Amino acid sequence: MIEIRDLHKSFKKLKVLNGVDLTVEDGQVVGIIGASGSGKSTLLRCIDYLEKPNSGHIRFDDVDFDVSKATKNDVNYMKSHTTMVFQQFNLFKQKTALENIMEGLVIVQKKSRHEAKEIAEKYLDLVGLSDRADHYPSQLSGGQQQRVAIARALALDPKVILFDEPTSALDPEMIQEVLKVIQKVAKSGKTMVIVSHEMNFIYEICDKVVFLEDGKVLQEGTPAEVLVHTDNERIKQFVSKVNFIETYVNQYNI
Amino acid sequence: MANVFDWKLIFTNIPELMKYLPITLEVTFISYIMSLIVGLLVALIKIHKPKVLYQLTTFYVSFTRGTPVLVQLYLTYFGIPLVLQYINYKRGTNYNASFIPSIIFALVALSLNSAAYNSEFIRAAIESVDRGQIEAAGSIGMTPWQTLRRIIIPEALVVALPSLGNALINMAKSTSLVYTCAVVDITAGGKLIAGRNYRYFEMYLSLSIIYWVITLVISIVFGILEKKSKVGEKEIVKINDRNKRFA
Ligand SMILES: Nc1ncnc2c1ncn2[C@@H]1O[C@H](COP(=O)(O)OP(=O)(O)O)[C@@H](O)[C@H]1O
Ligand SMILES: [Mg+2]
Repeated sequence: MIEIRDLHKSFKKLKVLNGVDLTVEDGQVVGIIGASGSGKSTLLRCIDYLEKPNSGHIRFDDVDFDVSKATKNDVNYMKSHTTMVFQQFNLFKQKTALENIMEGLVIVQKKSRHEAKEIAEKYLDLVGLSDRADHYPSQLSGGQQQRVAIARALALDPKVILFDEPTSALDPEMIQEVLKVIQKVAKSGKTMVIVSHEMNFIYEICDKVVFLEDGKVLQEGTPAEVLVHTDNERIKQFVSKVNFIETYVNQYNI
Repeated sequence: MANVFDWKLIFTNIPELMKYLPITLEVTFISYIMSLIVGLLVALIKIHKPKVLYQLTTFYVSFTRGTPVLVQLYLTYFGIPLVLQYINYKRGTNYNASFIPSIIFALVALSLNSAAYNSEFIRAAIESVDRGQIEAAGSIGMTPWQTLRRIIIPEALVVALPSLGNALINMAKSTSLVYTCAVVDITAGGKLIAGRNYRYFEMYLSLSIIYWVITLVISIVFGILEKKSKVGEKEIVKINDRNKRFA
């Protein structure tokens, strides 16, 4: 379980996170929504410690620390048990699909190449790309690259996977194949935090939705509470803008 | 007339020069490798700008690029013994500069000279590596050193290959100046041989041929490396070609 309390992050004078509280239970799928610039990416990046938060408190299974007094151990724990899936896929372009997945297994987790290859093949199969194992990122479509990136994250078996707008850089016809894979991962019981503007998908897949505004949580609750029954004018306005249509809701058949 | 220019000598000189070739190659490759290591360190300092080191490297690069390599060779040759004397005087130690093989002076001067130039293209190559991949490496738990070694350097290498080839060619040619440090490379050896019959012009033609062949070989090798390194970019090239055809 991750419990984040009063998290603050500024870039020079710009305050981006102004006291975020967030709890993610084991096996839970948490959606984070909000306008562009509200701090969604920064929040995920602070959890993955790609950015160093300024203050706040984090409790994550075996570690419990004040951010301003984080030890190297605390930071390493956060880094090694969380993995990010990025909007731009960020595959290593000189490595094949299979090598991309093996890299962390061999270099970080010190598994033998043989074992790493077996694991990588398993996850490549899970995302339906066994036949693309030896392709370089430049030889894959955006949707395929993102599926490899998801396999790369999954293979390391982190406690939490963080998705930062995983379909925003994709051509429309590729969005579904990636969402299907994410949905499969969610069903398998993996703990996930997902930032996305695909409201129907968020509605279907998430156990909890958090609406972020100006670096603070404006509302959190079940998808229905936040997306359908909210009293908050700001959220109503946001949801209407992103074309959340309830009749589409059942397309993922969860 | 036959005495003015003996063209056969140009070729008969070459076998005799070959016994000095190992020194030329040794100085070229060792200085080259050191210039890349120092160049990488300087490039990293330029990128991360640590306080004192950054000012020091700025001074070093400016000085090195602003003075001739010949002068730098002399500075090293006369400077290192002076520094040793000074250390001996201050510390009461007893290092003796005459025990330093003269080739060391040449290696130090040439690698430091070349590193100043290399640092610039190495910096540019490192900065050309997409930030996203560096973040992805961090996210899967790779340390900064692992990321540098496994992701940044291999990708920067591809970008830097043409410049790396040029740097090696320049290094091979610069070694002709090592006589200043009392190292006998092919140029210094050639001068010795030519001194016997005063056929200097023929000798310098022979030397030109050897240098030319060395640099040609380097160009060809780097040409092949560049082709091979395009791995992972094949498809993009193909698509671009196709777009060009339809344009
Ligand atoms: N590395 C950075 N340096 C400076 N400002 C940043 C940096 N990263 C994000 N920001 C700023 O922080 C704010 C929130 O950004 P972000 O977390 O990316 O928002 P979101 O993902 O919700 O669109 C934006 O105003 C953005 O410009
Ligand atoms: Mg974002």
